[in-house]
Amino acid sequence: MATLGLAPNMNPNKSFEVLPNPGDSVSSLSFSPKSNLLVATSWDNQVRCWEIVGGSSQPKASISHDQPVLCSAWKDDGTTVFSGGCDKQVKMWPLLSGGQAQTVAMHDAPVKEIAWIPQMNLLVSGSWDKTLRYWDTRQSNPVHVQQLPERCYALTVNYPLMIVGTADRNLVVFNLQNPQTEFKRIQSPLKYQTRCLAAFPDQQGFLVGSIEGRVGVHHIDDSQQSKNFTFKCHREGNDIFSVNSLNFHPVHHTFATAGSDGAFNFWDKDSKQRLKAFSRCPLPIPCSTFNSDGSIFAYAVCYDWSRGAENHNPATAKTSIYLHSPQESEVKGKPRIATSRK
Amino acid sequence: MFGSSNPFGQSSTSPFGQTSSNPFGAQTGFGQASTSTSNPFAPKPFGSPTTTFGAQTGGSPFGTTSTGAFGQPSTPAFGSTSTGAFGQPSTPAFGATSAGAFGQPSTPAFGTPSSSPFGSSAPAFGASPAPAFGATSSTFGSGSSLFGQKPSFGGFGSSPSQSNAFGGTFQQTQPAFGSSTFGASSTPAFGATTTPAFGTTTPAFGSTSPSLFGATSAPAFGSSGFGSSGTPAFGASSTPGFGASSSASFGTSTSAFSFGSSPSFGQTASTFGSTPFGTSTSPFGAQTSPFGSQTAAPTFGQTSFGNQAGGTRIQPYTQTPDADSATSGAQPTAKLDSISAMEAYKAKSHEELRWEDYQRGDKGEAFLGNPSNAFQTSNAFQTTSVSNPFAAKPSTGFGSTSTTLFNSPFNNTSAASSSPFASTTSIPLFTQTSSSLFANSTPGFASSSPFGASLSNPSSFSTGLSLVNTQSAGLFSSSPAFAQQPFTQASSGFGLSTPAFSTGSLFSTPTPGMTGGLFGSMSSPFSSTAFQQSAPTPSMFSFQPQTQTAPTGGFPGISNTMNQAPFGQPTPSQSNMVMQPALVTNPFGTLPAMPQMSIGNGGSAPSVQYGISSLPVADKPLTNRTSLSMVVPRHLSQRRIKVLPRKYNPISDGKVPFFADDEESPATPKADAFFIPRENPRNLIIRPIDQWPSRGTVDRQPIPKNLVDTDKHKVSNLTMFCRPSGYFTNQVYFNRKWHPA
Repeated sequence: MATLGLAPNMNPNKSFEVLPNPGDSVSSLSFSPKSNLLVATSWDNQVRCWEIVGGSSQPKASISHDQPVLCSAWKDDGTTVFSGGCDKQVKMWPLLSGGQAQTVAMHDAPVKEIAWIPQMNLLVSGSWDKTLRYWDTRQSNPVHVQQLPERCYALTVNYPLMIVGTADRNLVVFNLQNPQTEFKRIQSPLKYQTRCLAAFPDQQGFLVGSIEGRVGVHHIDDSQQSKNFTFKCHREGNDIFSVNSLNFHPVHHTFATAGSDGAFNFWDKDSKQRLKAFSRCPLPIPCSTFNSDGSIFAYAVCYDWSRGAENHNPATAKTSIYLHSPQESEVKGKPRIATSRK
Repeated sequence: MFGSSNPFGQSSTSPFGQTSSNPFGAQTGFGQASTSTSNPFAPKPFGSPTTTFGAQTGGSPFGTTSTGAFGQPSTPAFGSTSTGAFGQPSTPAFGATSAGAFGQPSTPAFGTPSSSPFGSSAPAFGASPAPAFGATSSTFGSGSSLFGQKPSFGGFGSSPSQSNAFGGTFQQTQPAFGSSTFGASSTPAFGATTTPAFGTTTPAFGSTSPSLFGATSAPAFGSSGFGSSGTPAFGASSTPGFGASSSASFGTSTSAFSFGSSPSFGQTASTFGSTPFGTSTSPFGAQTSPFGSQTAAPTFGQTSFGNQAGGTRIQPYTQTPDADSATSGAQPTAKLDSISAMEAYKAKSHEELRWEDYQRGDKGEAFLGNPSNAFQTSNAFQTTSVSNPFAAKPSTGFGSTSTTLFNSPFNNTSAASSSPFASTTSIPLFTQTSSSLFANSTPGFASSSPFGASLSNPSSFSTGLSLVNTQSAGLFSSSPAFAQQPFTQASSGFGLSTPAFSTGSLFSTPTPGMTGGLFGSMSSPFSSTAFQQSAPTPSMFSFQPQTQTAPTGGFPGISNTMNQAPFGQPTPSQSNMVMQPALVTNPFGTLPAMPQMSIGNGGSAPSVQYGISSLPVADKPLTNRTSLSMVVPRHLSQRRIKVLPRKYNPISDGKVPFFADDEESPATPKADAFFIPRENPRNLIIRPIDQWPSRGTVDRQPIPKNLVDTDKHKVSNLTMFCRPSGYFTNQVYFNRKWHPA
């Protein structure tokens, strides 16, 4: 953690800082699929939007929830943002048209994850009320309510593949072409609580991250079980930190991990090697994301409650959002030299 | 007086006996015992009040109050109290405790304690100072439990908890019985009570009431309770209980005397009273653990913990050892930094815990409510010591007592929330005050949790470790299960190998094609002998021209050709089986070649010999067909097996034709028996020489030695035929050769 006396460097990787800083920790970051609009949800009940142009960030607009906001998602046309949080509702914010945010989804407990499924024109929301609900934004009632074995902790969608990570370490796989039935239910290959998920760009499998500083690479098809493996990351000496975020690069299909140790790394799962390791920030990184073309990697540096309330001083706490322009060598896969077959 | 002493002795004996037997059986039995106990007591206290009545003029209102108050609470209160003398003082105590009764009978309460308790207090104190001290120290703990009992009764009115408390008292009663203190204290207490009581009463009345009252009320009451109870446990238990009442009554009298606003102060006192309840709850838990096995204690702690949903303040954050790292042992144990890895929070994610903290207004270490909780959590002893300061308060000066009372409620109120404080201030909202009491009791419970937490910290920690180990073991056992899954997957991998095999079978399909190619190459030598033969094999169209050509030749020759042609046609349309017959056709094809040659050479004598040899050949070809057919399948099977691995490499594809030629070479030696087949091997040898000079040379050497002269002549003839047919064959072969590539 940060040593007050030493005045730690919040930005050891010399990334570009997005200003102004949110008032409290950031819970999610998401880029528009059509432009470089960045939306950040925060524990101060705010949803903020910046436009990233050239080498600067311009604050555009913001809306408020009644309680801390936990997640956000863009519509595929890049005109609308969905945000959900502890007020148990999901709001639809027509950002470009400048309209007011309206509630489009309701749950019995805080909404932890949301995702927009353009192929179905539906919004899916996962909550701590142990349900997954599909919403047509033109109706007030959910199109379908899917019961989950436990609270929803993580969600990833890459049509037609969707995986939900629950509190009991279950990973429920859905084929969105038949969303009312579980395609498969997998027990997490990791022994500790699930924190994040990311579906493969080719829909063949997914990544799962846990609080144990470990990531599992898992394939859906049983015939590819031999290709499954896990690897350790986000560890410092004897300290093991959580893996808070997993993101695939949209072009090169490598992925980035961000953890509570304040570091983020780029990996290539096909060659099973780390492409780039960055310096540790003094505070955890609770969330991160790539933009639509992979030219920008955004990550938030702030406290993620990984050590409880007593280790957090809100008076001196600082929340920052940084942008990193990944070099091609950092995100492009490196095939191994040994080639047994052409 | 003596007459009354007799009932005292009897009552003290019989209730004890009944109590000891019934509670031992079951709580229900105790209930019955209490009923029976109350029955015998009914007449005796009646007698005592009568005496009191005769003694005092104001007896009529006192008697009425004591009857009503006594009737309702007498069963539980008296059940624990076996002494008749104590019964009288207990009435005012209860009245003081009760909010409703407190206000109304304040005057009679004042009168009653000043007379009878005062009388009994002096002799008790003087008579047994030493035993009092020992008893007090030993029973201090149990005093806490009894103290908890009364508040719980007032707060909840639930008999089960009261029964439980009594059970604890019973256990302590037995040791008391074992000691002689009971008998000794009983006798002198009685004697002392009689004589000095009267004398003491007179001086009290004569002296200034306010100063004497304040000075004597606390010590008088404490000693009175002790003396009258006789049982060390009971005396000790009554002290803290009475202490609370004493404080309340003292506060009441003070407020009535100097403040004037007794209702508000009384409510404040009530608020204060509830906090001790919360505090005393944990001692109850503590007592439970000694009674049962130590396992029960952690269970209790976990139960209380589970009931709470208080975010991350329930237990301080600590790193969790990683089971995997611990197992390895090679390196120092790695530690998980995530709070969700802790046993206390493993069912919650970071966000869930944060949301719980935020709902409680807790956004970090600066949270105001934390210090008091931390204080209580940090030192369980201080929780116990809180009782001592409380007991000391009556002895403390008036001013300091007032200050303490004022601060305590305030702290508690701020810890809970501002709302209860407001409701506490409000007089008419007595019901709300009751509600606020409940609200206060909840944080009281929370405060008890720290104590429970501190108690369970070591056991909880070990339990956590054991759970971790258990879970690790479980995970380890599941790990083999996971290992089995890969095995199953490996099995499915085997399934994959099956399709691989089927793929292989699919691969074998091209093999027939390849074999067909080989067949083509095989047939080409034969067709080189007779160009017309190669024509019909590729297509039907060329067949007709052959027929036209045949009539030009001899009639018998034509018929032979026609017979062969129809047989050849089915060959390409069918599979391997047909191919084998096709191979059989080759030897047969040789025959027509010879007849044609014999016809051509009919003029020469050697040609006549050929004709003769052709006849035997006609007979022998049957044998040839049989032998060749036997050999051919073997070759084919061998080729299939060998071709599979070689098929992977282009080089092997190139080798296949060579290998096929080698296969034919062994066949050739068998054919060597016949003169005519020898010519065919030469043709084959010639082509290999072109492709592989070295191997061709090796093959070439033995044959020339065997047949030099004949070969020369025939070579010249065959060369003429070979050249044009050779070109055609090479082209065909080249095309086929490319297919594999």
